[in-house]
Formats: sequence, structure tokens, C-alpha cells
Amino acid sequence: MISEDRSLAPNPRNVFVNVPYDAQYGPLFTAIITCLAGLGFIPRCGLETQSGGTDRLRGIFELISCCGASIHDLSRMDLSGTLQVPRFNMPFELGIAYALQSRGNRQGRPRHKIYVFDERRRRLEAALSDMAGFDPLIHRGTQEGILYAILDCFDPQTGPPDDEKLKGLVGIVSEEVLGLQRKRGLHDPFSFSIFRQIIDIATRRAEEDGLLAAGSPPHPT
Amino acid sequence: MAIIKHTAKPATAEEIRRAVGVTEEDRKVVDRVLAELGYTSGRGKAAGEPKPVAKTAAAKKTAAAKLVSKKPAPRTTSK
Repeated sequence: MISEDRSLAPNPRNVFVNVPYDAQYGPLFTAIITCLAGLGFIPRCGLETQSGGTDRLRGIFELISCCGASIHDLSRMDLSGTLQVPRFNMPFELGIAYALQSRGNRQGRPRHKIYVFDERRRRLEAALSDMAGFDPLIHRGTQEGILYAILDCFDPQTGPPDDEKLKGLVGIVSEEVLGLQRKRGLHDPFSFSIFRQIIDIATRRAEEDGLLAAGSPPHPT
Repeated sequence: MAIIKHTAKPATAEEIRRAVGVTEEDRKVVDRVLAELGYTSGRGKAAGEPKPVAKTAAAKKTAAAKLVSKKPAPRTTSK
């Protein structure tokens, strides 16, 4: 299923999340989605584009196009998988976002903002020197690091929430998402249905905590 | 270089759910699983939905303390 607003102009609340889809990254993905939702931003990701080949690429391009900002975690620079090859998806999607950022400047559209995350310091300068000038946010591979990186990049216009409240939200949602994964026999949260369910859990808990304004139940399908 | 923060008027919970396409089926799955795990009370609200168990301040503090603060074991697959 695709967003209802993908064909429209960029929505500043939409934030594209470009991260590695591996089991180790699962808790960090949950933390990113929860933090963004807790701040009133709308997390978007490639899991929403289910087709393959050029359709998928087109879908990702359209998805990034409808976002006001994007997070690109370039932590996975090493070789992986049975073929032991580097994964180029994340830097590729960063390139798409950079092109959108540049186009925004020229055409007077709202400027797409790019935030680069990494696990460790001083790697990006060596691995991707073209991005010199984009200081990566370092999260050390931890949920707490992710939370503070996001607070460094995103602010709701109503003002930042209490750090401890957001930390509590991430802790509770993570616990519940892990339970959901276990019940469904999944090792990671990287499917579109789990992504939607993380959003459901995170928004419900954020409403309870007063982090988000209450909303009516979702429209029936 | 200083980081320029991205700001926007916060979306409501409903706007976020609608934008990513959360379905009634998703909510039912979440309700069922969280109830099985003891995270919801199972008491019906006006609309007949299970009511999430309100987390106490102590429970939230405990959950916050459980945030993954150390790097997990090496990964096996990648995006």
C-alpha cells in the first residue's frame, strides 16, 4: 500500500528513513520510527514500495520526493551476505535525496533536508569523501544514540518534548514490538505490515503519554 | 558545520497512521498480540477496542533503562 499523498508536493512532516534491513539493526529501526512518530513526524521507508525492478526504484524516488527530510544511516560499509559484497542501496538513496535537495534550491521548492547517520566516527570522510561537509550523527549502534541523533535533527514546531518521556516511549514500544515479532515468528521488523504495526503501537503509546494529539481511529479499509 | 534542524507542525496520531496506511486489520493484530502478551487489559472501550494498559511512571522508567545501549551481536543479512 502506498501513501495517499505521494503524488503531491513534499510534506515537511514526512521523513524518509533509509537504513540497513538486517536483524541487528531491528531495534534501531524501531527506535527511529518511534522517535519520529513521538515528535509528530511521519516516518516513511522503502518497505512501502513492494514491487521489484524499475517500479521499486520509481516508488522509492516518489516516496523520497514527498518527504521534507530524510535520514540515511551509512553504518553498513563492510562486505555482507553469501557473496560478500558491499550494499549500495543506502548511498544510492542518499544520492537521490541529494538531487532533490539541490532541485529544491533551484526551483524555489521547500529544501529537502538530509541527515546522515553512522555508527562510528571518522569513517564517512574516508568512505564517501563527496559528502564532506555533512557531519554524520554518530549513534554508536545504540537506541539511545539514535534518540539523541534524532533530537539533534528534528524539532516539532510546538517545541521539543522531554527527553525522558521520549526515552520511555522508545523503551515501551521496543518491548512491545519485540513481543509482536516473537509472536509472528519474525527475526526482524523489516516488512511493510510490521512497519505499519510499529506505527500503530508508537502512535497509541505517544497519545497516552500526551506526546501526540489524539486522533480518531483509522479509516476502515 | 552546525546542523540545521528540520521543523514542522506536528502531525496527530491519526494523521501519522493514515499517511502510512495503518489498517483495521493491523490494529486487530496489534490488539490481539498485545493482549496475549499482557500489554492490554482486554476491557472494551466505547468502540469495543481493548484498552492499552496504561504504563506507570515506574514501568516507563524501567522500559527506558532497557534501551539497547550496547551493540548487539554481528548481523547476518543486510538491506
